[in-house]
Amino acid sequence: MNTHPNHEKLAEFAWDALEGAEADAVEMHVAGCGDCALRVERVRAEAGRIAAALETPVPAGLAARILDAETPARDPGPVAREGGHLGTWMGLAAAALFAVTSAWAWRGMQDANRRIEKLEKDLAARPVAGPVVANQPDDFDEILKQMARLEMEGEAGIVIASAPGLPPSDRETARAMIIAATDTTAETVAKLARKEIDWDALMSLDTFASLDPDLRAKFEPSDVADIVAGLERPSRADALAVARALVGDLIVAAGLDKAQASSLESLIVEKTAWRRDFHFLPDVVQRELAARFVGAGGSLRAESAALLNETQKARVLSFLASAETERNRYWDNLRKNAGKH
Amino acid sequence: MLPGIYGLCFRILGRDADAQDAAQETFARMCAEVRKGTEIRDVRKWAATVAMNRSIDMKRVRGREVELVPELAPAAEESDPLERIDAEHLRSWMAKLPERYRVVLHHHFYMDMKPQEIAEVMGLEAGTARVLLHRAIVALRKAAGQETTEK
Repeated sequence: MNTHPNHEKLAEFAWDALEGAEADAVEMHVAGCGDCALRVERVRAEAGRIAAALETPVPAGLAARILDAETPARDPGPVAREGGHLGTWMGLAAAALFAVTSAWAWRGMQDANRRIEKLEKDLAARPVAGPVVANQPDDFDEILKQMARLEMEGEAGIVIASAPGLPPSDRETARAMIIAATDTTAETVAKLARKEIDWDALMSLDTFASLDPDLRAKFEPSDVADIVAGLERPSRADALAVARALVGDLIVAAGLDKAQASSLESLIVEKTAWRRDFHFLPDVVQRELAARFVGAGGSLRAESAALLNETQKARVLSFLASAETERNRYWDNLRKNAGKH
Repeated sequence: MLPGIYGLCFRILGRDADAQDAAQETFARMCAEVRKGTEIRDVRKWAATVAMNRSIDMKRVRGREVELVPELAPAAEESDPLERIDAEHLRSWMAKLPERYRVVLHHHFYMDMKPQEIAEVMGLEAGTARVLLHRAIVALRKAAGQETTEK
């Protein structure tokens, strides 16, 4: 492209607001045009300053207030609703988990930890605690399913949004495939086992028609058995293999670069492994983890640690450490961007 | 997600106490929906829509602040008046922009929404969201330019 993109186009490119062929065309031009590259630089710098100015610190106590409104202590409803309260909290946690790919997920929820500790104490102190615990297994499965769905929807959304090469006609199918590929809930595993996942739909994607035959072979229905086995085995390496086979190639095919693809893979592996571990933990610890995940902290309280066996403890600690690393990484990025100008 | 939602409410309402109320109501509604088992396809977009509508309603009830939408020249300037400006000033000019401009800036530059997503949240055509985004930036540059030349 020899003609310069107009001012608006260039700005939208710099803001990352262009998609598909439009973005590609501008990118190609900017790569070979010093003037436009300079302008893009400036618009990006400006965008950085605007983003910094939009930073609004959350008032201390707002997170606590929100959680407070959902705490049973204030609303001693019928026992049947207890699972609902927990579900609500987990729903919030799910929302926060979903947002983990954005820097703002980690900020402002500092009070959540304290509130959750209070919530745990309240739950433990109340005479209805027995029935609550008795109610939990069913509720928890439901909640985890919801969390998993929200996370996967989010991931699929991210993949699709950042896949400029994917034609619109393929987007919905790709979305469904990514969700199916990363869904480890019993329901989907069973679906896979019954071969009810629509592999033909995947094979018919326009994007796939142009794929290397070796790559395409990975999606043959004969792989289903391996996939099911992979999903059922608890090892991290297997989870990685499954994520690679199912998602890695799909997103590469969809136009993501290698770095994007591999970061998405590891995200999926992390979440898959974590979900699997999560199921086996005592409820109190699950709640604490949810709290830690949205708040700050990479350690486990002694009371919670005492409930775990050595393997579980190691898993939880490594999960917390990786959550902490991730959080710090976002903070560093944030600081770096803020320090630029 | 809380900072994004609270920030959005604050951007529209301009008052901490009101913004806290709106943010809390947004999360309370989200909880209620999750409890009911409602399918929320995109939590971020869903929450942004609820927070925005709730804040606008609250502001209407409050019945203050007349919105003035200034006529704007299309973007043409090469020099960038925002370059020399610190966040404090930028924030104060932003507060003076029309509500829709503030909202669109927040959606895009803080919540990282694409024009298509902004359009869905604000109930607009994608093209309109784009135009709104450009106008908001031009208005901000203009405010900055006037201020710096006055000094």
